[in-house]
Amino acid sequence: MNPKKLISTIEKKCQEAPERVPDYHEALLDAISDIVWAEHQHAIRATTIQKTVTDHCEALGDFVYRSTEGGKGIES
Amino acid sequence: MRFRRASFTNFRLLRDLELEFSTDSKSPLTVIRAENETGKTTILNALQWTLFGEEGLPTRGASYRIIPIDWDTSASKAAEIVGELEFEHTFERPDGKGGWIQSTDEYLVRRTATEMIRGPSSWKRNEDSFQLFKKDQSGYTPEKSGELFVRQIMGSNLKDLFFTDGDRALSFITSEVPTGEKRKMVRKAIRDMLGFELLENALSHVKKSAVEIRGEVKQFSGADELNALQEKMRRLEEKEAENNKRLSEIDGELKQVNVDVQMIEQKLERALERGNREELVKQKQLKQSQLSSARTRLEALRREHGELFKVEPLGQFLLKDHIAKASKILNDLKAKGRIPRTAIPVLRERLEMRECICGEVLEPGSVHYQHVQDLIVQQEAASVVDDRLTDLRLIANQKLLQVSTPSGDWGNLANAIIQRRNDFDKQIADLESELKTIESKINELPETDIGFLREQKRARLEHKEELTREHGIRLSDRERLIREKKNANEEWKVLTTQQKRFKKVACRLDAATDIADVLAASYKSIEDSEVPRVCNAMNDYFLSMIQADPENSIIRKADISEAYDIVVYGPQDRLLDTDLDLNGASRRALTLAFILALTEVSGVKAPNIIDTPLGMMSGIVKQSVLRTAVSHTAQLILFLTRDEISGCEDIIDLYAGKVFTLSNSAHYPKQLVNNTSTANMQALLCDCNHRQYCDVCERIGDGKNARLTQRN
Amino acid sequence: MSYITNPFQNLDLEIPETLRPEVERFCQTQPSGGAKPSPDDSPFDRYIDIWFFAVCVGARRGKGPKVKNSHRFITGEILSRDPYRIELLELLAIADSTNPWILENPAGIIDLANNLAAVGLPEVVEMLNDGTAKPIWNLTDSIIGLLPEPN
Repeated sequence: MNPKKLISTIEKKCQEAPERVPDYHEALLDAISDIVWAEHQHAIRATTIQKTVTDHCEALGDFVYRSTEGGKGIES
Repeated sequence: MRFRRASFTNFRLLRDLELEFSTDSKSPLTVIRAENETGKTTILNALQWTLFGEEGLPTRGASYRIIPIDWDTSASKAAEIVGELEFEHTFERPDGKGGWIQSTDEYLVRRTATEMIRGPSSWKRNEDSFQLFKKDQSGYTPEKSGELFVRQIMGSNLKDLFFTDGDRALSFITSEVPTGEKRKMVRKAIRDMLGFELLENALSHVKKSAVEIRGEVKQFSGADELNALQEKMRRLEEKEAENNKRLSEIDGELKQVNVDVQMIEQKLERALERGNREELVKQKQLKQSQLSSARTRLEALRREHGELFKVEPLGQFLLKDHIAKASKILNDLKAKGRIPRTAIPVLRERLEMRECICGEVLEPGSVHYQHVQDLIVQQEAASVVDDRLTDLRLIANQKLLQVSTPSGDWGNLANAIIQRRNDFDKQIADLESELKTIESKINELPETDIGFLREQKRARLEHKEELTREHGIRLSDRERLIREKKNANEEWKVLTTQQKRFKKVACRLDAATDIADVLAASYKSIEDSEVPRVCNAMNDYFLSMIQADPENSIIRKADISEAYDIVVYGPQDRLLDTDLDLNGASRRALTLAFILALTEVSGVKAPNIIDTPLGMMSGIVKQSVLRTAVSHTAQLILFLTRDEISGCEDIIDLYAGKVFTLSNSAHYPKQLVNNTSTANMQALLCDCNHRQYCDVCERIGDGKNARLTQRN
Repeated sequence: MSYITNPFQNLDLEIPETLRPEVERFCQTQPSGGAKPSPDDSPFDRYIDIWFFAVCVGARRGKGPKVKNSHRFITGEILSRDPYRIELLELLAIADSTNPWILENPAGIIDLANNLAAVGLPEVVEMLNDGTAKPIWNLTDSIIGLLPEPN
């Protein structure tokens, strides 16, 4: 599927996700785009997709964490 | 993605061939006129090999020989095979502001391989080499990971959809392919084109990630401990605050006590300078005692003084003259022998001797003896006064002597008494004065009670001692509390770090969940909206292609069932058998409609390279198919036979940006009019369009074909 | 037979009735009882003391007229307590009478003494009152005044 189209669909759905922190939707879209991209790459050649996906999930979580009061000043 | 140019060397029939494709969006059609066995399919395979390597070849290249079949092994048993493809690709990426940025780049793909003839039916192809170049101002620059890039922009798994032929496309619907296989193909095509598989895989991996993350979440069990520690720290803070407050109070109290003690000491000092009440009272009591004693002694002295008036010396002094006179009288008596009388002892001696002074014997009982005895009695009677006078004479003389002695001198006695009394009076006066002074001092002390001050000082010092003791304890407590707080803080740090990690992990879990939800929602959204769009588009294109009237014709509607069967409905929504109820043209139209609809709805901009799509079609259907196809693709490259072109020239005129003619040199003289004079069998390309023929491509009969004209 | 130690023991010692209050004032002995006054105010212990002192003072003046109204305050028995008084009374009587055998007339001696006491008492009272000090000091000073000047 055309990436723009796919991303547009994902973007719409991202807007329906809870806005956990400011700019969360954008970060969520970025994370999913990266995951989809990684999946795309994985479909083409063997990559360590699971770790990559987990990394992206964690990175998004870390973004949320850093953006919350509890996560400020905490080393990642 | 749009193909711009392709060239092939030693790829089967394509000994040396170069193609150009129309990239004009208004004329997106490229037509390669080619009859059977002129290399259409070879070009299709060559393009796929160039892009995807062995994977792009039939049977994944396993039994697919590339080296030209008529390769002259005398010169070389090996041939270098080259495939080149120039294309442009438009990238779209979000601009971060809700819009998209587009940029178009040009690339050159070059794949080479060497294939060696080993025997009549044996060959060996070594591993090919792939290169991707990006065109820029300085020329072509090699790109890293070029093969991956190509696969990314044109998935190899989708190649069947973009590189197809009319017969192969029928596999989506033909009964020759098992239903399960068809469904699988359709489903795969849809899923691939619409990104389902991608989303599904992503979702699956995200869910696994969530499970992994959730595992970390479960590992944290310090929440209760943290709450307890928080409570403990709160209590410690309270205790420390209370302790510090008390310490501060104690400091203040100690200062105050010190000031108090200092003030009391000053008061005491001042008071002691004036006298200690207690001491003064003691002194007073002592003075009173001394005074009392002195007064007692004075009283005795007074009595002694009084005694002065009845002592003998006073009488002797006052009667001194009388004593002297009496003494003289008495002394005279003595001088005259009147006193003392001495006859009696003599008379008694004579009686005892029995002889009178006259010599007469004195016999007891004799008159003489009696007479002497009477004389003694008479003498004794008169001598009482005489004796007294005798005594008095001595007494008088003695008294006269005494008067002149100090002890007999009343004046001395009196002076002694007077002196003593004066001394006593002075002593008493002094004592009284001292007592008065003491009493005066005592009277001045009502407000400065030294005892009270000392008691106050003692109490204050005792309080100070208590405060100092408490201060020490509090300081120790403070140290302990600081220690406990430090420990608690360390513990807190550990737990909060754990908690933060937990929070972090919880955030990660939320994120993973959100990602999964979005992926699932996107999947569903695409499934709910895009699949029907594909269906609708396919239906529209199909009906348009076959010029079917939805109201009256047999074929009313094409659809994709939930089971991923491409189905066609007739009147009253009756399901038609695509094999039996649809003619060949409709079946081809249906599959083409499906491919075009899927490509269009997916939004993938890629060329559709279709070999002989219009076979088995004629007339208006053929035209409609061509018109519909060219209207719904970004770039359409068609390999068409003269028969397929026939009747569609106008459409090709309208949409084709490039038209070439491909011939096979081996067709001379059976099919080609002219000998191309090539030593080998090969595909020959000429610029003749769909309305032209030339010496290279002229086929037998072309000259008689009214639709064609000879090109010079 | 020996000489009676106190030939005056049965004889009455007398003071003039008129001077009885004075005598009472200057003696410790208070006939009405009660607390004894200070020796400074009442220098004499008993009547006998002021009486004898008055006899001595009177002796320096010589006999006076017979006192009509006398107060017998005690008998001569009291003199036994101070035998020197007996001696001085006897010596006084010898000197006064120039008759040693006056001793054979103790009553005469006492009469002489009572007479001299009556003569001396006013002077004694005067001595006691003569001065601004306490009677004891007045008396003392007066007696000292009688003493010969020291050489």
